[in-house]
Amino acid sequence: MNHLKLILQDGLLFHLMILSNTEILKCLDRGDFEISPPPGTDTTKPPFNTSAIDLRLGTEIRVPKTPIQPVQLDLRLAGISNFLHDNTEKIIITKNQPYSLEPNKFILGQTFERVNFPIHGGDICYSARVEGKSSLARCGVLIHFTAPTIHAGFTGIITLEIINLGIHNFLLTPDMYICQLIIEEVKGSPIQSPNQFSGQTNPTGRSRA
Amino acid sequence: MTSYNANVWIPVNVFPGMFSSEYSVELKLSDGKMVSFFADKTLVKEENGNVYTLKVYLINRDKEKKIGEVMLPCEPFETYSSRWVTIPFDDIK
Repeated sequence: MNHLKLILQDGLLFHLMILSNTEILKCLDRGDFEISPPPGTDTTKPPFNTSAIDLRLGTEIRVPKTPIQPVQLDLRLAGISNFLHDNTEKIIITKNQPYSLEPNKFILGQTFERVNFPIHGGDICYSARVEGKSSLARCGVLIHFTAPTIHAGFTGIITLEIINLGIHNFLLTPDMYICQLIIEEVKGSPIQSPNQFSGQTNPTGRSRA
Repeated sequence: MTSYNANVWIPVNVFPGMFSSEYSVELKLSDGKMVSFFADKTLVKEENGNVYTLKVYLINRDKEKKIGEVMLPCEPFETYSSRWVTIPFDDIK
């Protein structure tokens, strides 16, 4: 409730907008969401940018194995997550042994930081978007290409879909600033009740597309 | 139909995830379909031996139909973008 008052004092325009560096810090201090390890308190220094916070590359990457025979993925079939595990190779990168991402190669990486965007019943909650950084983009490297949304309620380490569309190899090293997190307020509670499912015909759930 | 809006734990099968911070999780829906996704290890706990449970958000519980409606931590691969699924009533702890 104090949070709501604070925002109202600052003006209603702060609602549903991208959080600035100082607003991100206030939210972290209040525990509205978490970034671990904490990014420090000086919003004029990295990892803070004016309207985002940079995240670093972790040490684990997953590299797809070259299939012996062509494979067609079918999301109607069960066991996709195990298939992805079994058909990729885990590589640990270090400063001494970084990973050279070749042109047109796709891998998965993770952020070093863990984030938590809790849904507080009835209170304001937050979501975020992972975006690339211009420095990597100029080299032709995408760190996500289809799934930027960190939904309200998410907790964990952010997985990055990394692909090199440039013409040169690109070195991925742990702790490099790999992406930026843009944080926004979510209007309304994501959890509706009662009977959010009334009218549902599909037992596996209602499409949220 | 009773609304809950609370965190509950439901039984799942777990396998190694793609990253050390996660499990590959397999879950049985109320229609018997198996779905899978990756879940952060903090959302999974080992109960007894090899029995694992997943933290989900319970929305509704229908005693007559013997189903519970829950919000998963992420979208399973096999449900075509829905975090909201129904599971057998008896699975809700």
